[in-house]
Amino acid sequence: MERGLTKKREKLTDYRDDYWVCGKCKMCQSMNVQVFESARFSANCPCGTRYRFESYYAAGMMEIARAVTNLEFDPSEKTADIIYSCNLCGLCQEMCFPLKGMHTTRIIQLMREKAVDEGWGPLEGHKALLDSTSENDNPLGLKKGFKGKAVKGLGAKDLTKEKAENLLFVGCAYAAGKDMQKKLASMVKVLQAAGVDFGVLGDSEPCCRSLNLALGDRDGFEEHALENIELFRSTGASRIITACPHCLQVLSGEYTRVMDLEVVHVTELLAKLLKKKKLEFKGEARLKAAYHDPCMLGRWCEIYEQPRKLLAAVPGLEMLEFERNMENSWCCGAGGGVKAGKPDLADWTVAERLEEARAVGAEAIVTACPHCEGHFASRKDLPVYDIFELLAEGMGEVV
Amino acid sequence: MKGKDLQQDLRERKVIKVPVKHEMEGNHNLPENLEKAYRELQGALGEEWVSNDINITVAYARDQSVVPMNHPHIVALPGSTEDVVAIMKIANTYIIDVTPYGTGLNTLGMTIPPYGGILCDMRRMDDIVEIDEENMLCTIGPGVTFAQLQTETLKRNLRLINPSTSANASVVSNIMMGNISTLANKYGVGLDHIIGYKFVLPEGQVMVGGPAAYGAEMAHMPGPGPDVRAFIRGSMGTLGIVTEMTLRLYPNPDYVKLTVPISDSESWENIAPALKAISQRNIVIENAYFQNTYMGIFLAETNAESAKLIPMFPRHYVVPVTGGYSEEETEVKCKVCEEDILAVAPEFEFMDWEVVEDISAGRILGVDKFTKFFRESVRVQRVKGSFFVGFGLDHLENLVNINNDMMRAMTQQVGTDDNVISADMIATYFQPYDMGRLGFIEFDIFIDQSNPEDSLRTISGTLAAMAASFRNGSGVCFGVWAMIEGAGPLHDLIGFIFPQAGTYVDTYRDMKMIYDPNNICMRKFDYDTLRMKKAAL
Repeated sequence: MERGLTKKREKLTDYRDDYWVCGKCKMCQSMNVQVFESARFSANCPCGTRYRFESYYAAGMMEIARAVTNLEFDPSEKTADIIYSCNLCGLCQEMCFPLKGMHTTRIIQLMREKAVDEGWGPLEGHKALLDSTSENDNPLGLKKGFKGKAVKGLGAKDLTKEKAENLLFVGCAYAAGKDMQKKLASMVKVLQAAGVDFGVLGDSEPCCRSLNLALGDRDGFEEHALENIELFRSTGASRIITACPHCLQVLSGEYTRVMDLEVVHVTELLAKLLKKKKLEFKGEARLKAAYHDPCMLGRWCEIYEQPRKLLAAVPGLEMLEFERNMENSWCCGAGGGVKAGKPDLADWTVAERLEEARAVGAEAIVTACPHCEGHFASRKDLPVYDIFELLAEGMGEVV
Repeated sequence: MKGKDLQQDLRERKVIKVPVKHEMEGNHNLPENLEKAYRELQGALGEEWVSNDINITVAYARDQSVVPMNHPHIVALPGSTEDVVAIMKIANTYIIDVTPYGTGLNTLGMTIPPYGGILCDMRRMDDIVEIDEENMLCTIGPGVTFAQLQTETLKRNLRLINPSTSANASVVSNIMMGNISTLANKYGVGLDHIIGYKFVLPEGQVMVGGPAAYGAEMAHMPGPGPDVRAFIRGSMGTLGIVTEMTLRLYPNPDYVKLTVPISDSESWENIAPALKAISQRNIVIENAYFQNTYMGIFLAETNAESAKLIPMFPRHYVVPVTGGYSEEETEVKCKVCEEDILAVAPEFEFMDWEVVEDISAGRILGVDKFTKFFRESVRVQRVKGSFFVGFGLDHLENLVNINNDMMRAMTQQVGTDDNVISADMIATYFQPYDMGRLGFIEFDIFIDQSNPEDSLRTISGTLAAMAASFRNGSGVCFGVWAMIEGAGPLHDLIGFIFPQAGTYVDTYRDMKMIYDPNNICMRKFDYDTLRMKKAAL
């Protein structure tokens, strides 16, 4: 079915010239060697490093794409298990594309779309998420109404009733549960303190459906996309600022094909305001923390410096770098539907990242993605902070 | 008709071939035995580390060579020497072929199992067991990559020889292959760096080679008796599998400088004497000649940057790298190098390193690329598609003629203009080894292996190049050997290339038949006929 944003959809076979000629150079299997700091933290692909069979690395998945499209064998449960083990973190493509021009992550995405189209994907663990998105317009199993409660009392404008320059797209994750709502409140405080004119949609805010996209359900992703764009336009806002990197990737990477609104992440906006000296730091955050680059914010949207500049401005905060940082960053393990589809793999991946944090002397992890934060926190290991919590603390805007 | 119906129809009409085909012959790899072996392997290694699923085997069926695709029947991931022993014993019990696989970065199809069987992926054994700073040694597992090991040794101000392969290649696999240490003319080939090893023989016995075999810890003396370490040199899976290796390390100089002699001359007769002169002076740590595209390829971070840089560099350049304990010492060595070159090759000029940095817009990483790693800029990662290589060893003086003949053979194939491979698709480098006693030549062709015409052109061109090299008394054979045999052990073709090597080949075959009575390890020739099993093409 073709409709919505992507009337002419890409097919897996559009990338034949990539997966047929993969040279198995294995660049997709390690971070950039010129910036290696240790052998221990040199791996880049969570699922390949965990399972070690070639098929779980991008090079192997290219062979599966080639063989499946060449009808050498029928896809099976094992095929689905392999392609849904990928976090879609994008590091293989980050290594491969600049030199060899291959779209490894895109090919894995398109294999998932093929899987959904032909009925051999996604995994069992994903079904509840997709059902919830279909029924409640969020993947978290929450009843409608939670987004309105999350923004109630924060002092943000209601864009269904009044006008503002910016639409703050809260996203499902930041609105779910008390812990996340507290982080959301911190973000709102920081934006207000910086003098940003913004409003929210409350219960009218739709789900961005990035999870559908990640799982290969492009129809589900596009089900309400055009209506959503109309809703955003109707608010009169000239710009969308997203709280969650996954929403950012979808709105800026997919919606902007037909939507003329500018989309930025909150950290991008705040970094500009910091440069203009619009952020005042009256408090402090005494902490020694390592900044974890969320895959969607970093590799997918190329936002590396802005969060670092903001955190560097927080008094008392000693920022450390993971050995694998920025474009070489190791995924937290939650992305690409892995947390739901293959929880053991997701746990192993986050344990690796936590070990790396301890190896660089971090007492805490700070990041800018609610999914990463939730996944780190689930290990009950090192304390995990949202970037906006620390910013609010540094600015003396205690929630 | 569309989608699944179309696929079904194509399959039923056999329009689509299923290329998962194994040669069934004799008592090797029989289906009933494979099933039993699979279950026993799962019991020995754990279910998690053994698979016969086609989704797993498919990833081991191809590499970047033009060697025909073939799946293993079973993939096993051993985690220890004991696991490898178990694999060998099971393989022997059920007569299943075994092919070792380091990190699988191969340009010659050497890890593609021509008859299926068990593919032994060694990547779980990736421990750097020890780096002995005092004695400049390291002990590693076969899954350790050059990048991992070099990173750890450099922290201790020691270095490994710089390989002519990607930083992501297995050190052990590359050294077992011979390890053409691109620029390490002073230190010899990789095989010369093996001090000791742990090796699992085809029937499952563990052989310890080197000083540790007789209880010595650090002494490097071979023996007692004949140096059994040589047993595994170049065996490339035919006599067993390495599970641990101890290698030499070298001090990393405090100061390193690269001088870049260049020439645009059509004549390059003086290059070999220049390389030899520098090598015999014994003051450089690295020394090589590069042609055409190499400098641009080495220095750029991406293909696009490479494409811009290549035309800016001259046709010929030599890259002697000097190192020392002070800046002055390094400068003096550079100056001596320059004088040595000009004495035999006055046409050379010297490119200022700052100019190189300017040309490459400051993106280069200086001499690191020559002394630490090859990665982005290494040839095997330069292009999408295949990388086809011919290489050989000869006296340095002979390499220019060999190369000229080969280049003619490749670019001007007789009687047609249609099959010409552009000179841009071919590049040569050569370098002195062993302080100039020996020369190494590599002749690289960059092709798209998914294009049959490209592949055929390369095959016919390489055969012509091989004939040209034979005319010069050399054996630029590896590329052709890869095509014919799916790149088995060199020994299979020694008799073919060097007919006078009869006793040598006979001895190797005798050894192979004694230690591998069931012919399960990289089965390439038939014990009954003592001939190679087949030509794949």
